[in-house]
Amino acid sequence: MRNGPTVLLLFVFAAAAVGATAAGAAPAQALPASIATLADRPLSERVVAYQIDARFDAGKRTLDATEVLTYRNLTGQAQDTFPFHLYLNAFQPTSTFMKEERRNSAEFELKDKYKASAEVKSIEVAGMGDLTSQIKFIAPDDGNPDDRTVFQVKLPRSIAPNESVRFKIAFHDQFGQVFARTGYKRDFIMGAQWFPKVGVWWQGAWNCHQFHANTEFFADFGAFDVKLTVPQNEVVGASGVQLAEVKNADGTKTLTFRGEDIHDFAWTAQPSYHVVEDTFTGSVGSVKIRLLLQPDHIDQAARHLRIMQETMKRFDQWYGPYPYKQITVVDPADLRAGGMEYPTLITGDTTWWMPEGARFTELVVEHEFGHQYWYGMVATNEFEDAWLDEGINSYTECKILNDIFGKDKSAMDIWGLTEGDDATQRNSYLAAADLDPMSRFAYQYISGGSYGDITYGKTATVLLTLENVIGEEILKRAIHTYFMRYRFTHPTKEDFLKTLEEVSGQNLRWYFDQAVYGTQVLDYDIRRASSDRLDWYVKDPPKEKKGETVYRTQVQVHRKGDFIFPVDVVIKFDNGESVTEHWDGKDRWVRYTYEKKAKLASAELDPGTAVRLDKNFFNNSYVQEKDIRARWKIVSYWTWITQVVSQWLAWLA
Amino acid sequence: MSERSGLLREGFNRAWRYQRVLWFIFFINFGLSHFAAGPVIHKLDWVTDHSLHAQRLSGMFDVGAFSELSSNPEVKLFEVAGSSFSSAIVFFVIVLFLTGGILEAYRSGRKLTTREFFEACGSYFWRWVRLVILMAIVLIPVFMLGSLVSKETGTLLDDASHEKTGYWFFLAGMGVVGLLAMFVRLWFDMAQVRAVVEEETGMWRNALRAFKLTIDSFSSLFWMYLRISVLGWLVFAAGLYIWAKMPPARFGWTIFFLEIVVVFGFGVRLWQRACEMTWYQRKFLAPVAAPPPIAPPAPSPLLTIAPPPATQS
Repeated sequence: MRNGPTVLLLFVFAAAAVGATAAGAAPAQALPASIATLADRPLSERVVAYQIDARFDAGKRTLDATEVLTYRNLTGQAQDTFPFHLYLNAFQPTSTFMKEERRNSAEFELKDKYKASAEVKSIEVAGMGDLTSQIKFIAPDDGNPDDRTVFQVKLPRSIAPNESVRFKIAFHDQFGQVFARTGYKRDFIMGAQWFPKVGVWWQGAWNCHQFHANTEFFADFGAFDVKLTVPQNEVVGASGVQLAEVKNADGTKTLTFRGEDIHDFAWTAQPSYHVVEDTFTGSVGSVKIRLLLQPDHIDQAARHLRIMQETMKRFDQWYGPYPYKQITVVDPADLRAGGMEYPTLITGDTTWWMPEGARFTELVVEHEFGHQYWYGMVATNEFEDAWLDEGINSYTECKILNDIFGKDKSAMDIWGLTEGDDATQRNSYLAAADLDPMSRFAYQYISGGSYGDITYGKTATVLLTLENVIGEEILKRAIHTYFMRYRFTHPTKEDFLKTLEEVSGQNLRWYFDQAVYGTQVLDYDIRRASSDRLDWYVKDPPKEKKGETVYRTQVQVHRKGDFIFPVDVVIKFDNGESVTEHWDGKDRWVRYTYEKKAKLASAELDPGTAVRLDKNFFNNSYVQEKDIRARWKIVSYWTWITQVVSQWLAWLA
Repeated sequence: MSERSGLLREGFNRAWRYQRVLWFIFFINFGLSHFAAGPVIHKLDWVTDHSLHAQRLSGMFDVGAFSELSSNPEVKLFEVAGSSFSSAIVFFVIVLFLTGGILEAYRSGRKLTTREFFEACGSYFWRWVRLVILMAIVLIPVFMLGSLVSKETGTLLDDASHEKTGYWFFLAGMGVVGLLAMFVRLWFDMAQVRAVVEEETGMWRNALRAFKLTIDSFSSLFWMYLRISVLGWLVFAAGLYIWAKMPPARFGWTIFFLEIVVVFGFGVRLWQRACEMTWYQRKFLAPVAAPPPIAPPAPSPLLTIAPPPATQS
């Protein structure tokens, strides 16, 4: 052609245009920065990226999957050894978990139906080949050679700081009937702790504890792309958001989920789930609430949604925004899978006969949503600092339920019986008051009961008492600061405690040393309170006359426990006068003496019972004039119940 | 129907006429239970009488405060539950003892003197003891069935396709167990009635005959028994419902109301016993024929003073 150069130029331009189009197409195929969150950028460091392709066999209750884990080495050191959790292996008789269950109760038996396992079929590392033979099970906590909940793999070469390493892991899960959190029940399945999860590099070392009877979980933030293939009749809920659903020719369907800036991924499936959706509009956008209910609990949909709305509103206003696009609320078929939290997915706990005034349904949903903040976003180490999530969450649970239902009725208001959540937490703490400090590692508590009573009950009570020291609003502000500062990180207990001191502007070590790190019990009592006429020594003294006879009144306040805490003492006289004393509590006792033309009416420590840690509220006051109503009320009911039992027994006569 | 209504009415009348026994039983029940609560009084007086925190129990009923009180190691409230259970056993023995006098009173249809009443109580007591032992043996399989229902319920709650299946099974199963237990109670009630009416001393024989008569007349007897029982349960349930609605601070009235419920419970049971006695008497005792009118005796020649013979003038 005579225009050869022109044709060539045209060709070049065309090629460039095609290239530009191709280049322009690439960004369209890449995922935007945030699909599952309301933010326009990553919220965390995203140390890990999991891509899991899993196939669940509903008949056999097994799952086969391939996991590709991309780990970014942000440890600051070269790493050649990586530990992984295999939590499902806890449900084997020789595991540490089961040993501890048996230690807690000599009657404990693990029936076959509860056994579960996770098996790594192969593990390859990109560029390093198959390292399956390098898998080595370790037991860093108790040395139990039969425990298979942690394995590590050593790479032939180190991963330099800021370099990434890609693991490809094929694994097989066998689920058991739900024993704790994960498993099946009839046609329900809760897929929790179901994939090999890499440990956390924390405080200069790998933190990858074995799974214990009293412990929960700890993992790095990242992104999850999960494809789950299940039978087509299953209704599925999962962490993150669902991106796609494809029906397969073999009667299954494959659902694609994405979770961002989360550190765990859980899923659930059941053909008969009843799905109800709602929307919460918070300060950073709208959040979809997806509720999966059991067929027999459909009439409780409104209860679940109502408490979700009220809870999310308060968390948003008081502590900080919920940044994810969705929260899935699961009503499990087995209560052992209930009352549990996973990032952007929670499980409730209810029964078909749960009356409204019992508030258990609401309490569990509120508590588990609260975990989206304490543990979900502020991702503390649940093995070592369980109180930082369970306890802070129990405290915020009290505050939120009190705000919704009223302080004295937040846990129960039924048949004339009332109870506030504060009291529930406190009574839980009192059951184990002097056994374990809050700072103890979860698996080192003396018993499961003490673990629950201290991490939940004592922490809530410690924080409720702290309100009395620094003020309720300041504590709220401090917790808000803590959340905003440490969300999407792994703070320690000192991070929390120092935040409290910083925001309050007070040195609170004297309190934390006793309450958090110690087991001292707080108990003050009015040991003695009485009035005696001043002229007691006079023979034939004049008759006592109100307003004229002078009395010496003494009030002895005694510190029965070892916890030193400043308290107010209010002494009232029968002429209407009132005196308030402030005692630092450092000595074992203090005596207040007054000479007045009035007798003692009452002496009361800590009016308003703000010092919730006090072990015994009944001995905190003394009233001169006896009031027998409480005693006779209890005695009357006791008598009546004995009468009824006697009447029923007499039916046999 | 009219005969059954008459039976319930007659039984009620007998129980009402002899209501002093109802109050007697109630006051024993109340007294024993209150006595058993003595340790509770003692445990609480130094804790609650001078404490402001106790207002959370008197002005309302704060479960948290009660939980704190009862679990306080210095109080240990439920430690004394044993004494209450012991009082229930004592009451059981007392009612067993009184049953003879009660049935005798219903049998005779009149008010017994105190001496007659307690003589009857004493004369039947050991027969009732033998009957209770027999009844306990008969109830063993009933309790075993109850245990089986409970166990199967647990399995169903685990494995059934619907959550409620286990609950419905439990209700139905326990309903059957309850009916069986009621049948056994009715059987031995009739054994007691028969022992009093027929002055039976052999309790094995008596129990067998009572079983036969209960089976033979099952529908009329059980229907009578069941209706009164259902009324008792309904009143108890209504009582609890009303109690739940009463203001916690007005516990004086609440307790008074609950005691009325207890009285009603005893009343219902005594009504059952009176009806059983009436039923048995109607069924097995021939009505006493009215004796022929007694003619005035013919005057005896020896005793009659004959008029003097007429005199001749």
